Amino acid sequence: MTELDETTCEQLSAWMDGALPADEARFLERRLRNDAALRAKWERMQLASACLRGHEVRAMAADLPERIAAAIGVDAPARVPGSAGPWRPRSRSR
Amino acid sequence: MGDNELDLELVRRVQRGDKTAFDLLVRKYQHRLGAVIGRFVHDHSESQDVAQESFIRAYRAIGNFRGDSQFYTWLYRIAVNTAKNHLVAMKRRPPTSDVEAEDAEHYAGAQRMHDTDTPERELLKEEIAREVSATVAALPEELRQAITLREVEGLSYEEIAETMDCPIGTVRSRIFRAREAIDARLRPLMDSNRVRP
Repeated sequence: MTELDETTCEQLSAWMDGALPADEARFLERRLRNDAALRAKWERMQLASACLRGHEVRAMAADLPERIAAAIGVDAPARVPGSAGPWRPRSRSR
Repeated sequence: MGDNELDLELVRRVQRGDKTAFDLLVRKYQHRLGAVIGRFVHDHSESQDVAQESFIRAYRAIGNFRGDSQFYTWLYRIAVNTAKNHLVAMKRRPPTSDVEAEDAEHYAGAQRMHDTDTPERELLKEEIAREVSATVAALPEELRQAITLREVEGLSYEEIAETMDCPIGTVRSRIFRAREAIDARLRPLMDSNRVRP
């Protein structure tokens, strides 16, 4: 798993609120493309946000984002703790 | 840029071919959409399939999304239609009345049709909500106030800075520290309990 540094996580938090300066945002967005752990953190932050805002949630299967990514034809990264269970190979739809 | 503007920006990127942006939208909304689908499709395994199908339909149709409504409202409608179609295909009768997107998520409890979540799943939902709530309650005052003003009151960083009489950088830091505290409790919960399809 990728270790997430505090600066990046703080940037993610600000980006989530639309409050990250453009230059920092560009850096973070590049990182998001390549960092599964960071995307998992985004998912947990969004789940917490939904709870705080009083939205009803239903915990979905750990590999749902990967199944969707596979279906639309993008290489999903290996699963990481905090978003999923153990990685297992899947068939490609492409 | 606020929450809706960020969604719109992600949508624009998907429309330009950035599939990672779609992954971020999936991760953002899957659990809320799951609750909506669960009102129609009670079997959890089936509801996972309907959620997957809903997102795939949304991806295929996203070129037509013009931002006239909020992205989540648009996504919600796709999910409701997908869930109803699923019930028809399974020769089950979809509910005759629908619930508007803005109201649906606040109907927990009394308005719920049925929920056949397993006791373990119910426990997980409750645990998530309880952990988030308990963590916020235990935060130092300045962190609790900052995250509450942001998430519950929906204030911008500038408005929070004015309310709390502190620099915007301090607001950003306090909100981040509050989220880190919540995440520290949420992560092991999801690692150990997250359901398998």
